[in-house]
Amino acid sequence: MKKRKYSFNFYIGIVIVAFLLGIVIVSFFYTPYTVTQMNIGKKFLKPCWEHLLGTDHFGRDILSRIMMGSQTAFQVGLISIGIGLFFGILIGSIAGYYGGIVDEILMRIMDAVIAFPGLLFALMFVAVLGQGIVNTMIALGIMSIPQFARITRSGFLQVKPLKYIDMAKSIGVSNFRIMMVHILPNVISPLIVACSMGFASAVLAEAGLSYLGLGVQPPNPSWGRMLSESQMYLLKAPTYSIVPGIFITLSVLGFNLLGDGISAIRDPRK
Amino acid sequence: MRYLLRKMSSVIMTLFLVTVITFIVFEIIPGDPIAAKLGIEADKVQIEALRKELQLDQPLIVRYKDWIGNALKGDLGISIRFDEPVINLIQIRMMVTSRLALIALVITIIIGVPLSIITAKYDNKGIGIGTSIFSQIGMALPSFWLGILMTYLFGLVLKQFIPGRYVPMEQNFVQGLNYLLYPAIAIAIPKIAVVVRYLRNAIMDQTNQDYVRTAYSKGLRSHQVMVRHILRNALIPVITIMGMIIADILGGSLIIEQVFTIPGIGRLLIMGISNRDFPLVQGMVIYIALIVIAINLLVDIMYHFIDPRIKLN
Amino acid sequence: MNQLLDVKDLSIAFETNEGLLKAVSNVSFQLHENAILGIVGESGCGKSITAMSLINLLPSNAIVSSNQMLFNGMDLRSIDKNKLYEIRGKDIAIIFQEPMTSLNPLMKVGQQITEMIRLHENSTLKEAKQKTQWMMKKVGLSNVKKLYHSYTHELSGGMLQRVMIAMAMICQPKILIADEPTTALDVTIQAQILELMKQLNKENHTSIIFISHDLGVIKEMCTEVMVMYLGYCVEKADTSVLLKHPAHPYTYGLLQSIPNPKKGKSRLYAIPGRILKLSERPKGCPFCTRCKRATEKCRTQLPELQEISTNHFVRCFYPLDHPQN
Repeated sequence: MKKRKYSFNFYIGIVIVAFLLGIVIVSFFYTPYTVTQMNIGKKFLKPCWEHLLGTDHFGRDILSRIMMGSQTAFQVGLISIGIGLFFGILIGSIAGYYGGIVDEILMRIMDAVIAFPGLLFALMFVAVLGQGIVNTMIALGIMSIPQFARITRSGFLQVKPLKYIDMAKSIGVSNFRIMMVHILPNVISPLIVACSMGFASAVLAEAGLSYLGLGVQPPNPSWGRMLSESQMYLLKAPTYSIVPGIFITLSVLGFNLLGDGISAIRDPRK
Repeated sequence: MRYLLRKMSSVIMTLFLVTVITFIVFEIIPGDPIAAKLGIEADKVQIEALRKELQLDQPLIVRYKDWIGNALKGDLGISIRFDEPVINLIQIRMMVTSRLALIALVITIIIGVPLSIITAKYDNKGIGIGTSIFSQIGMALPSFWLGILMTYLFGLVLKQFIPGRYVPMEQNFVQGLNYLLYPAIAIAIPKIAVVVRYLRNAIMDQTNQDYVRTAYSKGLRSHQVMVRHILRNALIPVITIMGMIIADILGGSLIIEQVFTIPGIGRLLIMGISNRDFPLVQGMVIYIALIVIAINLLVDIMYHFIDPRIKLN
Repeated sequence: MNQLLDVKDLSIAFETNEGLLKAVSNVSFQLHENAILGIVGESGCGKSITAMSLINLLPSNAIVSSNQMLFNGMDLRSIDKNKLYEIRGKDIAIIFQEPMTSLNPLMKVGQQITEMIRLHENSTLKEAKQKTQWMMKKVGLSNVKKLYHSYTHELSGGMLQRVMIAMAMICQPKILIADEPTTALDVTIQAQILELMKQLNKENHTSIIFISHDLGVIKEMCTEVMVMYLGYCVEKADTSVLLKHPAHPYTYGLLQSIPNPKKGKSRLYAIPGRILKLSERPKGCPFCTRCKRATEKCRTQLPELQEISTNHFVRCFYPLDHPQN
């Protein structure tokens, strides 16, 4: 029974992620309206056949903006996770492979990065580097490095005492090859789980930063910024506030469930 | 005792690195902080004077040493925008934010714990899957969106409070509390989901332990067994995530203050960032990070008080 | 001797995913004042759940039915919840098999005993504490002031089992259920704990239901023995009778497998075959799959429990030789 419950999570996650991914892909070729197309006469329309999710304060189609916003969310998620994954694996491998003082210093720095709560680290970066989508991705990417570094390092620590690594070394396999062939496959599934979860938190963080006006800037569409714009017209057009929130929640939920499901399949005991 | 020493040394190490990171990040500022302060049309003499005043002519390590030395004395520098000591600005706002965070924490606990007990008690498939789905959705909800929805429902429709008009507790306790209640609930809901997810499982694990059967065999009623025996044991794994939850609540209030226009450190921080008021932002980052590290240390110490088994190693 | 407990036709089943699983079938037994009744059998034979069902300590998927379950003239089947809570601990107390896990790891052991007193007696915390320490001394613990404030991880298994006994005995229960109280302990500690229980039985006139898989321990402790196999009572008699004249092949096998240093046999006897799962219980005699004497009748028909001599019951078509037969 337990096992079924977890794969249940996995399937729901897959369905949600596939749905969102579908929106992203479609948005590249087709949106019902162009996002910049304003129509003052059609401000704050309630959802109707012409505008499935209504219109905003400039008469722009909300569905089209949501679709474009999904591109931003996925872009930020993918690139920041990419940054985190690349540097995380690099740092984790170095720490795990060399051990000793190198390990100590690197992991302490990782601890320190984690010690910044929530968005604080990202906010600090944005404050220094300035706002915008690129800096948001860099900040969120750096924030996610420790996760990946820890997982990679733990993989090294598990595998290191095993005999076959010594044997590989003794027959002259290069350090890089040992890392790639013998150790990374052992940490690949926890890394995938962390990617999925990290994607969820990156989407949430991007929305938060953009809501504060410090993340993605116009003309890039963003769910978070839609929320902050909508807040002014809350009484007039509540759906305008509700829709972007649903999409943020859905993305976070989907990727969290996916990560959960993968980790449950990998380790049914949990 | 030895544990405490080891823990302290690792905390001090983390603190040190956090300050170093914060210091270095603010060294890579593109653009000139002096230009930001004096404007582009400042003359050379003025610029030189300010460079000296801000000690920008000193090497990095010296400046770090000075900065951290001052910070330890409680001097986090002067805000460019407000022309006031950063620490004073923070402390006034911290009163507001800490209240908000405290209310959110209390709500998280007084709703999360009983909810975990109830859902754990009825251990059947339906409730198990239902709880799992609800806690997953709850954890995915962005608190600032919940805040907007609450503003709409409780502020604009039900008129329980006037959005945007913050009332300090000093001025009117009941109204002040009422105003903080809604943002606190918005922060608390995702955290309640986290608590339920962990605590429910922990309670169900503990319920099957031998000592619970012993407790029943003594003639304890089931609520006594729950409170005196099961809950105490089940809370142990939850306490380890409590530090994270408190940090999240504090982090969450940074954004939620913007939603409800509450004059706490979140608003101050955003203001500082928008105005490129670097001493203010730097001071606040270090201040907030320090508080969170302190809270985590506290939670850790508490954990070792509650679980006697750990003292041995 | 007065009958303290009279159980007739007790059956217990569990609702599981694979359907209803019958764990105990039509077991009847009596417990007299001052007596020590042994219930013996291999693991999974239903001996523990038989005892647990008396005060309703079974998991919620258990279905218990019986014709009678009298305790001191009171029918345990129909008492209300409050009365049940009162009986638990005060009238019927239990010592469990694993002292290490059967005590709350986060509560001082002394407090766990005191909790029992405060639950059933009107006494101040101070009185309860004193009584606890007195009882801890009585069960052979020394340095009780310090021990009172210890946690389970700081004590050995033997000490913890003494704490369990102190806790169970503190309200002077009429019945003590000892569920394999020495199985998890070292052999040397085993003897001490058994001695302690015998002594408490004599001094406090507490009747004991002693559950064990080890007939060697049972024969040292008990006045009467009930042998269980796959949920059935297969033989029941006074200890001396059972030891001298075992009538059921299973009992005989159990007796043979007790190590006996006097005989100097190098090889220990083991009953052939494996213990069946409850779900694989044969149609006829439960023991027929492992019994050398089993016939076609044994495999198809369930033998009734018959009294072959006074107070000696056996569930077998072909009981072993018996002087009165």
